[in-house]
Amino acid sequence: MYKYESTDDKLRKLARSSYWQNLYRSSKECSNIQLFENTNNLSGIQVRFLYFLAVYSMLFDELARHEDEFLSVNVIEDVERCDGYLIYRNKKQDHLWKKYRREEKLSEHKSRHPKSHKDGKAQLIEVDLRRE
Amino acid sequence: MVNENNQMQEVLDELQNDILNPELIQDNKLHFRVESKIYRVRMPNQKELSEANDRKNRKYMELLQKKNLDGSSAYLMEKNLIKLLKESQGIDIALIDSEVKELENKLMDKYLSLAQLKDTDVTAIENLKKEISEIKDKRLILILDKAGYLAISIQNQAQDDYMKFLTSTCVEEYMEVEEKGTWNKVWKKFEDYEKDDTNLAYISLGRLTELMLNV
Repeated sequence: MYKYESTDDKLRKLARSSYWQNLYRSSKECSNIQLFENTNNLSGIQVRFLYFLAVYSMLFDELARHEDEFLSVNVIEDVERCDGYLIYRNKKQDHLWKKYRREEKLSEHKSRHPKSHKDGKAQLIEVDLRRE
Repeated sequence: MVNENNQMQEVLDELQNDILNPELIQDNKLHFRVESKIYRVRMPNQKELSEANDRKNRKYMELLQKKNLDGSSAYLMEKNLIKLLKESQGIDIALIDSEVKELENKLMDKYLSLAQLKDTDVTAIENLKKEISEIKDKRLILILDKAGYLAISIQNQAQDDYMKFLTSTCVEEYMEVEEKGTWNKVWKKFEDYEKDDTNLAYISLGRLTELMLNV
């Protein structure tokens, strides 16, 4: 069955290729490396391409650091799986950020009220009072 | 050995493809072919954008003031059109929006499940991808329905004029004169574009929309 390749699919394929990833990395380190022929008045397509270059660069870095058990080369190369992973990654980051903020609040509370934490009984409880 | 060579060729072809297919992004122009002729659409400059904006505003005011014989407004703003669609035709745009939102929530759940599968879960991956594709198709139908219903609103018609004007100024045709290649404007003025009922006018509009990603 013929699979229609959208502009986004083509841009993503280019953006994750080793050629463009290397060029992108080099351009970040060396300011005189130009990615496009034009330096201003970027087209919508070029802006989107830059976004994908950054996204794939980040994913390749995370893959090299083995940051997540679900991230693989196959995930990066598959548009649907990659989109899924980015959503999952956002949720995970959001969760980690909330956890970090909670711990930060707890340690702030501990330093202000050391007595209440002495026997390990005090806990910081967050209550959401918003209407359902 | 044969296999190794084939594999090497595949890798080289792939690398070559990466390098040889940058026409989408190499500059701020998009090339396309209609029948045997080559065209390109370029990004509008500030002056053209300003002219297009001016035309859009004039169209907006013109449609706003147009009246029917009985004195009622000939065209409606999107908000009033939505109201009229519901009252007179039973078409509920808010309901379409909520259906789209519901599909997007489902899509999000499917994507999250897909993200937590390993490469070895081949069948589950394929099944989820199929389900995602079906949900996306349903969502697209709703979005296109909504766009169709609201296309005649004053805002959308004015925006349409904006894009058409930019198309009329930014599309060029490749010509060879005395073995020298030149790019010439396809339509000398906007009126020429409006009169053009060939496919080129529509294809060009689509290409400009794609280039600007103004979808």
